[in-house]
Amino acid sequence: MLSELMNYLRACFRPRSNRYVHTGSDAGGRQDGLLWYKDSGQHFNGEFSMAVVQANNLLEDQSQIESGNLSLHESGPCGTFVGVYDGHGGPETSRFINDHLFQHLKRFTSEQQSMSADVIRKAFQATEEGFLSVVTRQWPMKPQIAAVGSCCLVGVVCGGFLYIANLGDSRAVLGRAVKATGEVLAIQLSSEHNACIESVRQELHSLHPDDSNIVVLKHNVWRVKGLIQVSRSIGDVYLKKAEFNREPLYVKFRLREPFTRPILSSEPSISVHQLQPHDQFVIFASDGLWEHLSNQEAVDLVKNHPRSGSARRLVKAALQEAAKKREMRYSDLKKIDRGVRRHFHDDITVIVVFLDSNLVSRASSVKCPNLSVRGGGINLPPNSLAPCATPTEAGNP
Amino acid sequence: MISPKKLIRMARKWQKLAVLSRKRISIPRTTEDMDAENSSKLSMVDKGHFVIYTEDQKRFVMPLAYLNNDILRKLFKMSEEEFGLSSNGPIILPCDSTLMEYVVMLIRRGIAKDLEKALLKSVDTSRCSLSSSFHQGDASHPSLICGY
Repeated sequence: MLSELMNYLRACFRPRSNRYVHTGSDAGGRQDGLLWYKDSGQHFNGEFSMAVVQANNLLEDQSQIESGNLSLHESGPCGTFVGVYDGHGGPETSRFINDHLFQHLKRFTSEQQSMSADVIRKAFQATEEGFLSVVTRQWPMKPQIAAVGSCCLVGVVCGGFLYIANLGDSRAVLGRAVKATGEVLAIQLSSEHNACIESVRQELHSLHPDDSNIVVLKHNVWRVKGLIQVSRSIGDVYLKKAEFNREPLYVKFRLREPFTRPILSSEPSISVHQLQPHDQFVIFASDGLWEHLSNQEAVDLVKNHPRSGSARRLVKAALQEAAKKREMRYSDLKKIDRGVRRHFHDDITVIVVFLDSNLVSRASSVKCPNLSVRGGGINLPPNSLAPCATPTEAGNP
Repeated sequence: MISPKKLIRMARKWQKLAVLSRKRISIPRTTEDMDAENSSKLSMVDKGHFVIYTEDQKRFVMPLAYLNNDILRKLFKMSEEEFGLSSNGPIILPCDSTLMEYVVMLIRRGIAKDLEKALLKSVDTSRCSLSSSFHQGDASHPSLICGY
């Protein structure tokens, strides 16, 4: 009981850095209640639109768009980097990724003097290792950090190629124009790692042949070890390293039997696509959007409206759908406070990256001003009504 | 402060309610604060309201202000631990309509803060901790309102 109280207080009085104040050259977005948005901006390969709505007491979704030089060398290459990080169990991992992944990527791009799937894989790996060392350091004081993790979706547009790397259940969807019909087709570019997908369950069974309980159906939801829906992530070290699956971590996160192999993986699925002139835009979003909108619905919404405000429009459509499912009005849903709001919908992050074929096809050595925008700007003191984030929120990515 | 005697009386009342609710065959209710059941059509609720369902599939329409109530918040939290956070369909709270009606009555009456606290504690020790095994050793506590 005392430890619970301590955690509560710790969550309330956690020092807050200025992590939300972005330092790029472009002015940040606007805040309207729990909604943050930047309707329009310019990146290396076209326009973009970005929006985030918070549901958790502490925003667990983090996101960024970085445009310009993708390496530490002045010579580039240049391009666009997009990241959507959907945290679970707390905001620590997704914030860590937001602060480190892009820097790692720049370092490896410099080393290899070009962009590649290998550069991205190495950046993921370095971020995972970096977070592990944070957990190792904080473990004695704050063991619940071992049960915090994050999905990680990254897109890089560079040299006419689109690289998509993913861990977890965020999703990137391409809108491709079909000349003959005038339609814009939705093409999903990312593979997801959620145990609700049968192939993911099969993969888990083949990786853990001796464990028949590697995935469990609990209240109609498939969960790895009955704890977590995603099979790959950054963080969640309590399911990767046995030395963290012990006291003083909360009992609910501890597995009965010790494990020798990591249960969750941090190996991203990476795909590379050569961009075509009719590839119009890519929607990057956390699962908070996709649980309410289909790929094609989202693509149609972007296609049928002005580019500016696309992301905000998608968030609104998802919230309207969420309100409908909860049998209430959208206008009322918007009034619900963060924290308790999580019972009505998840944090939602959307970044729509428009691809201007003239810009996409130019050389990645062309100079372009650097731009850096981070999603979500709310930095309120914990609400006295809303309970502070406690570890009980973990395991529901 | 609330006297121990009063607390015990209250706990007995809750226990009785819980037993009652387990045995009860659902009886259609009409309470002025709640919508009449309308199984044929699930209409959008009035402005300023939200909807929850109890485990026995009764629909409760409540004003948004109730979301600030600690007992209701506790039930939301328990629902998260019990069922996880679902994105599809309505919100289901892990209690039955009898208890929910009682909670609604308490909220409407604007119950005293200490009574609310005691109530929360009884809910906490009996149910929440059992499901989450959050507080070790709490299983030895007398369960006040288990099983509904």
